Amino acid sequence: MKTKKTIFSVLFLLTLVFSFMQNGIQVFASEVPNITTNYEIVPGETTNARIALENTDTVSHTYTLSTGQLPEGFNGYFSLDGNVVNNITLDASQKNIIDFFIDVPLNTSVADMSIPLEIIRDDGVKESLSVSFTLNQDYALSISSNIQSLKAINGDSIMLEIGITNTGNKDLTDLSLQVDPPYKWIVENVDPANLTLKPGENSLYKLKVTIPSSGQAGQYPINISCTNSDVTSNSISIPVNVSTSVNYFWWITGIIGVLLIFTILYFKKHGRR
Amino acid sequence: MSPMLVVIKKEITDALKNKLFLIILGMLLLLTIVSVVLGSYQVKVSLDSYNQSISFLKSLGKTTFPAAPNLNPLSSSKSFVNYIGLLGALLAMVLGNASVVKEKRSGTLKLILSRQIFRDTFLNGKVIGNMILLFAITFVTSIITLVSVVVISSAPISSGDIVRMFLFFLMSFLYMTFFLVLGIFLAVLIPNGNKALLITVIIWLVISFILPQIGDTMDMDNQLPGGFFSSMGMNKADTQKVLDHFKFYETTRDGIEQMSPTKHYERVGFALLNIKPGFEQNTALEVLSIKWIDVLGLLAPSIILWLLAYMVFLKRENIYQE
Repeated sequence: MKTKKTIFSVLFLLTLVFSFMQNGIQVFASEVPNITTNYEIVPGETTNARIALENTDTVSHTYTLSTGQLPEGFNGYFSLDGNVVNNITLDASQKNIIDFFIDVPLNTSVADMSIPLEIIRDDGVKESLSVSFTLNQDYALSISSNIQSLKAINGDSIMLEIGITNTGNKDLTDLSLQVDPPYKWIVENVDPANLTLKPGENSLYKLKVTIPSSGQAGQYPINISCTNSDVTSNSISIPVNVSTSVNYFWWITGIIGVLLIFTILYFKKHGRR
Repeated sequence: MSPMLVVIKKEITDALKNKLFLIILGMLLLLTIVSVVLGSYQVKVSLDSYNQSISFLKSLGKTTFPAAPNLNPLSSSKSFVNYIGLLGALLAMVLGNASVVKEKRSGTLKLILSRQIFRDTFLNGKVIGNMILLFAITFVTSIITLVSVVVISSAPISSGDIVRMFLFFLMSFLYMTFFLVLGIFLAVLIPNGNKALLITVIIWLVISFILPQIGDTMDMDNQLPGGFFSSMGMNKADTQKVLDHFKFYETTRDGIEQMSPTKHYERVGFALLNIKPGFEQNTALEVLSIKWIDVLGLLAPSIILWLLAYMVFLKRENIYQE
């Protein structure tokens, strides 16, 4: 009987210790569904990895979420119910799904990568995860222009040439140029209106933009990108330095000059008083 | 001492005894100090907030930081543009009008012109004397602004910023000079001094408020709150099609705006103070070379009015009467 009691006591103690260990180590068991799945990233787009976080402890905890060093140009952030979060509080046994978003730059050369995620509980317990991504290069598009900046006079039209290259592995059809000119500027013509490019092929867009004669002098950017239903290219910004027509200067100085001559003649005729 | 220097000296002494001038000057300086101090404090708050965020991120072990907000220390002078548009112009008009009218009323004009002094020299003395006063006011204001920005905001201010600021105050001086010359011209042209001041104020109201307002009101996109084109659900392409059909209307609208020195002052001032985007990379002199039409828009009317004042003053026989 005494032996049975001792065995029960030891088992009870072991259960307690085990239970304590469970809370100490798996306090925040992070279930990460699809974590072994390789997420696909597309240049210029945002990819979403979903992470389930569970508080297996008996009390409420706050978790701080952070990422390891991201490749240059990449941006990663956590989101809960549409709000960007860095901390999340979970009640005992509560489970929640967190979205990890990663913005991929258009001109990335990173093909495969693994991003470490770190989750630190308010009592200092840490857990690290690793999310891997592979670059999808089926659809990729790049545009460029040799024009660093343009000079123009208000009321003038400017011609721009934009180079476009299909840097992906598949054909790109129905490509169209998206031109975002400053307010009141008019895009007169884009040639060609639509374009199809095979992988590695490049072409040239020509466009004509008219600056309104009422436009003020200054520097204005024309933002240009190219798109179709599958992909959007990088965006380039061409600064246009608009100056006022020098004719106005001649008109104004001419009027002043005429008035000055008239004043001198007037003084000569009537004499100084 | 040459006769013109005597007139200049007298003009400055008289202005400092003119109560109306001193009241307006006091108001202008007070408003400038309040607005610049508040503007500098706002820059300081933004800077402190950014520094706190960086410290917090550093404590979290982050190595990449958000870009600094646009801490444009020059923006603290933004309100000054409005004050110069109102009180600065009023100050210059009072100076211009008083400089001629006081001489008529006190009978000193007849006395001065009976001496060895030509009418054009007399007029030059009046204009230059008052211009020295206006220059002194803008210079003092610029020093107050610079000290406030450096001391209160603690924001980094470059030599380029300082040049921009002084050029902005130079534009403010040119703007006030226009109203000074307008005041003198009308005081010379119109025998009744009160009527001359009234007409000067009416012209000021027209070119400072009505013309820019007409320009804004005639802007098609300002016809509805939130923008006409976006309210009508029009995309950029449709907007451009509409604008393309209204080129003449748009040119007329712009022409009306161009007639207002206030608009020119605002345009060149905002460009120099970096309030209008697109001039951040330019040096102060580059901004002036880009905005030369606005500088000319401030200078040309003053020169034209000055020349007209010469001619009117030379021939007037009833100049002594009010």
